[in-house]
Amino acid sequence: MKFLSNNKALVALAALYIIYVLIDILHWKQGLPMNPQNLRNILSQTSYTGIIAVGMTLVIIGGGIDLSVGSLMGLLGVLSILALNKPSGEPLQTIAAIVVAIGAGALIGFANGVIITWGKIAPFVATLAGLVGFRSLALALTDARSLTATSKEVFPGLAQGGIPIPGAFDAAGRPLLAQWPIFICIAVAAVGSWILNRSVYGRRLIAVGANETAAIYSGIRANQIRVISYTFLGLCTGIVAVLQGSRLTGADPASLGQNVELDAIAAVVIGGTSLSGGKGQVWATVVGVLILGLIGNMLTISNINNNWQGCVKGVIILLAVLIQRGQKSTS
Amino acid sequence: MIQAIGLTKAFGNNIALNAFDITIEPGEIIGVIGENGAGKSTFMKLLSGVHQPSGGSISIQDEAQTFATPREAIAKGIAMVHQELNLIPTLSAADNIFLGREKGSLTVNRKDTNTEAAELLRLVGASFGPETLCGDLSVAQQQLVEIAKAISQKPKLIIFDEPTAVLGEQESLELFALIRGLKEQGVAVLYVSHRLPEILSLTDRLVVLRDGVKVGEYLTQGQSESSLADLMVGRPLADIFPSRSQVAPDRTPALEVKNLSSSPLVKDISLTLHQGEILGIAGLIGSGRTEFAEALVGLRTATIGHISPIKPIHTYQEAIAQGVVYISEDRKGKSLVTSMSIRDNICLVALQAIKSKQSQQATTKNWIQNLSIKVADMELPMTSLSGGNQQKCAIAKWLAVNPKILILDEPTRGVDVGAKAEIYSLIAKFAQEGMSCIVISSEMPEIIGLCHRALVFRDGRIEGELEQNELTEANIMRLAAGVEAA
Repeated sequence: MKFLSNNKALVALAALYIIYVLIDILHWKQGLPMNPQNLRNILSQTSYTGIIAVGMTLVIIGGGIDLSVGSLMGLLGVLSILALNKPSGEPLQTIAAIVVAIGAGALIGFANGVIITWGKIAPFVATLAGLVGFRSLALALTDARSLTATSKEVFPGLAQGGIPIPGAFDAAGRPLLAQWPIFICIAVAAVGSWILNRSVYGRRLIAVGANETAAIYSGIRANQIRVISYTFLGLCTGIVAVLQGSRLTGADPASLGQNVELDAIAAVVIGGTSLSGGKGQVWATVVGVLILGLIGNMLTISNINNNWQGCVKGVIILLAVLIQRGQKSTS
Repeated sequence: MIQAIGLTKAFGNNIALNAFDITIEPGEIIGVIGENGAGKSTFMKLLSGVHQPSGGSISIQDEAQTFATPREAIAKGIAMVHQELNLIPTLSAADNIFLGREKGSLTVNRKDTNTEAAELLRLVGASFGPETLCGDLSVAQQQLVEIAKAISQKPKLIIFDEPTAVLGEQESLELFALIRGLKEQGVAVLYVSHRLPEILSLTDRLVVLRDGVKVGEYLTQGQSESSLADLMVGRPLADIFPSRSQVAPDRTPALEVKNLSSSPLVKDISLTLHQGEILGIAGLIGSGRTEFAEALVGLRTATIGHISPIKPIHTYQEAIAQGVVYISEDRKGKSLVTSMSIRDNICLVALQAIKSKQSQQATTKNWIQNLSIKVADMELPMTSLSGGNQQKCAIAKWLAVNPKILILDEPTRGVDVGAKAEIYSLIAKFAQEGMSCIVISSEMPEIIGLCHRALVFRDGRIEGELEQNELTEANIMRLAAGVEAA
């Protein structure tokens, strides 16, 4: 029982999956909840948001928030494709794309952190400026035109390649691939989890988020701790920008990464991380991302008008917060 | 040897500490006493790097030091046990003890952390394990974690700020033994407390502060509680407190409450307040006094068995309409809107009755005169006033709705001695005019010098009632701490 009450997000995911199975047996009769390709699709679709949500979890546990990641992803995607399309030949082109996106992501995340801590601007406001500014910068750099990747081999392989799942085949009879983004998401989550639970930095991040004064009185450089969390999130955003560029073999400055910040924050909240900081778990955020992915998948195949997706997600977020509150008062 | 010379700290125009000198030798226990606002916390915060001095210097072994942050003070061997607990509820006791100085460079070495923490916790007499989350600990247990944390820094000097305020008697005795042990190891101790018996039994020397200035340094030997009290206050208590009005024996109740509870902090409170009476409510911080007052006036949900002669109160508006008002202890947070003007603040509650600018100005002027508030211009923001004058404005704001029952929560917190005396005589005057007052206070002299009668709260209940002739610090403390009379 204790395990169940401590892992409500996981219980919710399991319950949701069972509901999915039941509806399918009674109504849809398509076998999608057990279909390897459908499940693989859920995983690969959620892995992009997942990577950013891991970084967002750390930022939120440190008492901050970052609204700029969606727009930043658009900007980094554009920069990455621009770097890729310099005619330097493969694999140099792909390496340039990766280095530019991740490097610029970390740098801009760092700048966000500096503005928030030393500049003493509330995280909400500072990153709201980024939300507005980065998107515009992406549009200005490209004249609002979509970019297409010129690399047709190595670069698309980053997101589209993967490891064949034994015994699983797609509709055309080809081996089904577990794509690289799934593994990258798992790796980033493992790193995030290690940072939070095992590292010295993680202890300090929790302290800063829970009670910044107490942290400072304990000799912790609170500003530095918080800047690192924004830098890490920027780095995660860079990784996702490259992967999305690879998946779409290009970047559309207007739509790339749009609303990703909201999905990431929603996943963090559904996972039970406190928006006031100091408390949370990376794996719970990953479960939160999967819950959102599963709901999206159910809605897509259920013939419910796509426009209702947001409503359902909104209700789920409220429910998640209500359940977490119940958890708090009983313990 | 740690030395401070001419240590001065000013906050704006307010000089919190003025040209303070002290020399601290290894293995010495020095008591620091003084009233609230005397400059004790400022001194400690300068020494521990929380604040930076406006003047003067700190040196260790004749080497000048400047502590820009607590981190630097800790590095130089100055540790502090803070009064407001500074623990992270979502981390374990062990993680809190080594916070900022974790074992291991990149990864936390869990084994070392827990073993060493367990040892430290044993040393301070804690009965819980190092992996217990601090959020699950009682306030007293958290205090033990704070102390373990300070000791783990292997300091040359350790500063205790009111360490026994939240400890039980047994835990306090263990702490004293621990402090004497530190002394034998050559650690210097600064011990700040209101509890004069502790100062007398524990310290070698003591420093008395008053209004930011050092009154003097004394050997503890030969001092008594009453001599220390006189040194702290600087004048006989009679000069600060007004004479009490007589309350007739056949007095009529202004308020009778039976079985008021408000989860989780207020449990089954029954009391009677008489007309023209000043009723004190004493007790430790966290004993449910503020919560009781808030529940009584409808600011918290509560269950009330019976209330008379007024009608039951469900919302604060109903309380105000019946003349029951509450002046919060939190002046900046709950009592005043400090960014608004003095006039806006004083007229805020009575706004329905005084809408025009002229009548507001007249009302404000009237209260400024009545309460002798020192105001240059009533259109200036509240922040332009000193603490004492702000507090008078908070009182004026509520007097503007003609209350019958005035509940004052810590009415003189952060107010200088002169303003204190003025606020006391105002309260006495209100009572003389027939208003009934409840004064919630952590300052025992205030309860003793001002009130006709006092209730002592402990853990959300009334632990005892003291008539005027029974009002002594010892009696209040005994009830507040729940200790049987010796």
